[in-house]
Amino acid sequence: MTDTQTAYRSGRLSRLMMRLGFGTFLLPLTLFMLLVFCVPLLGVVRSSLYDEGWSIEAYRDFATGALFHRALYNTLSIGFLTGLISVICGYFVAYHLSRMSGRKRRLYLILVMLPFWTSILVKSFAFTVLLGTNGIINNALQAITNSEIVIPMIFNRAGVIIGMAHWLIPFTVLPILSSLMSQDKALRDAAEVMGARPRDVFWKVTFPLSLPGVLAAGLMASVIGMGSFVTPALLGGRKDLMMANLVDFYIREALDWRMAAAIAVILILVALVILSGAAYARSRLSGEAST
Amino acid sequence: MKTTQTLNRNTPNRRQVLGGLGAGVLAAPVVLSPSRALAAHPLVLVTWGGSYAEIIQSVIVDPFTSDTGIPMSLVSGPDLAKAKAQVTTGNLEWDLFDGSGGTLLNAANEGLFEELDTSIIDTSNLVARATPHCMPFLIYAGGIAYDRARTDNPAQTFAQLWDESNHPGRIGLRTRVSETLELALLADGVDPANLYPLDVERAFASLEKVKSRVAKWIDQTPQTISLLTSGEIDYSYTYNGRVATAQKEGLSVAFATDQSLLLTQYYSVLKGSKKRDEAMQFIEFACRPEIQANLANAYSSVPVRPGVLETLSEEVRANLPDPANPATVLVKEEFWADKFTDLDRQFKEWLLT
Repeated sequence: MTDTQTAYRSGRLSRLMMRLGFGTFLLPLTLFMLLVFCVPLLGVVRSSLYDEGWSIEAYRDFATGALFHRALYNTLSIGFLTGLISVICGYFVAYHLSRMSGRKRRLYLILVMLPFWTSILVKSFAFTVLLGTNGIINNALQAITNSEIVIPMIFNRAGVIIGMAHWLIPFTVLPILSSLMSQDKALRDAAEVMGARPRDVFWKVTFPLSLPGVLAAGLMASVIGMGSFVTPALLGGRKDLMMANLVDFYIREALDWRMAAAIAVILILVALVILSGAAYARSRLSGEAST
Repeated sequence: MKTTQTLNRNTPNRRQVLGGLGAGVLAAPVVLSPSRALAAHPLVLVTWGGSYAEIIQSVIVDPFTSDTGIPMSLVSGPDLAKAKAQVTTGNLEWDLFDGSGGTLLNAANEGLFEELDTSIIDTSNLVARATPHCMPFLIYAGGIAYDRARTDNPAQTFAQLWDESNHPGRIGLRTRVSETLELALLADGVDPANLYPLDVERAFASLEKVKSRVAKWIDQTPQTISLLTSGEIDYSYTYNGRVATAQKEGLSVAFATDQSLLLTQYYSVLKGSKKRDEAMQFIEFACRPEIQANLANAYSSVPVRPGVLETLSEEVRANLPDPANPATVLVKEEFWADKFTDLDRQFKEWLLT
């Protein structure tokens, strides 16, 4: 039986394309990204070490400075907390979307994407109107309880989390939605046939199957959240300094680009550690599940 | 072995590809805009945007162009990091830089700017002080702003602001260390004439007293007015020009002119600029007494040439702090030039604890 493959030339590039298969079409983009993305990234690593001479002084400063430790701690805690909250809120939205008809779902997805289309500066003013001490929520609470109650929801950790979750929820809705939609409906029908109540169908079938997507969404949202600096600057308090704020300070005001590059490199390493840890955990989990 | 493969249902058919390409072509102008038409390579000044840029355009730039015939172009976004990138690569987009503060002088120390040509520009005879690289052209005031309608007995000096029993209320200060240390020392009772070199420990101790009353350490300047008018804070540290603009919009914000910090806005020429001589001429033009008077009338700024302040009208002078007032302090940027980074780091650490 002969191959149905068409005749091919046996040059090196052709053999590479044969091996890559459909991935050949990604080759130009990959080379472009290598040039435009990876080379400058290496440049950042280099400038964290080289500034009129090679030295690791910037990293030593980082290791000894209380400011940097505090910023790192803030970054990790705010990032993870916001990722968790975004995943929880995003799960509700994604679950509702997954049970809709196709056309309705596409319309609602546009609504989910709306936070992307608003400017963060405008949003921070809007949040002040909503969450401030003289804002809508507090005024409503005062009217209902007839007292001078004020819940501080802005210019503190709560404000940062609310602002960042508002921005990160679209990032979580999409992976969770695709994970939910890829589930075979027959599994849920089978559970129902076997006598499971709707609540059990969810907790014993739908939710465990969607967990990989949820984990991926949560980690992605956390890592994206760790890189933000405008939201903490506008909506946060004085204790909510994040690493990206420090990078911004060293680049724009102190003009100490080596220190800025060092902080950025450490942030990238933190993200890499988290993501590779997650990938490792996921392969272990799916490895165990298949045995 | 499978010898045939079914085509994935989701690959686009020809109609969809053509439709997508058509939409892409239609949308292309949104993404690919034609590069700015450079008309005979004008002199480029990078400055702050909004109403400030309009005033600079009408008061300084247009008269300069009609006087000398040198075309100019105003762009917004004076980012020192971008200036550094341009100077280090030699690919200059800007010629003149409008900046202020310790960060500007720090940048001058790093060699970002040309030395001022004193044969063209008169750097003596100034209310503020010129450095070898930066020429003052505008003085503005930073001080206490409050809402006239809400505050009965407003604090008029920094010491009064610190006095919680007589002037209670939530305060908004800035997240940068320059100006904040100065006003903390003045609130603590330091004589304005002996402010420099700043007693950093005393300043931090003074800030500690008011730390709990600061509702927000403001990072972005527009928030200094918006938080005041929306009722989030009762006192804000902001600039008289912004207060004047807010008043013109009908807001009941007032600026305490009894005591303020005088800050200088400088023009500098980026190092390696091909239009260096024209840039120096522009700086000289901007500092002429008539131009300074027009600028003061339009922007509520203090003129940098002595003697011009007295020629302004009464209603303009009402909003201006008087440099001769002993309570007013001219901020010495030379102090901040090499100390800004370390002190700001110390300040940020102090904020975190």
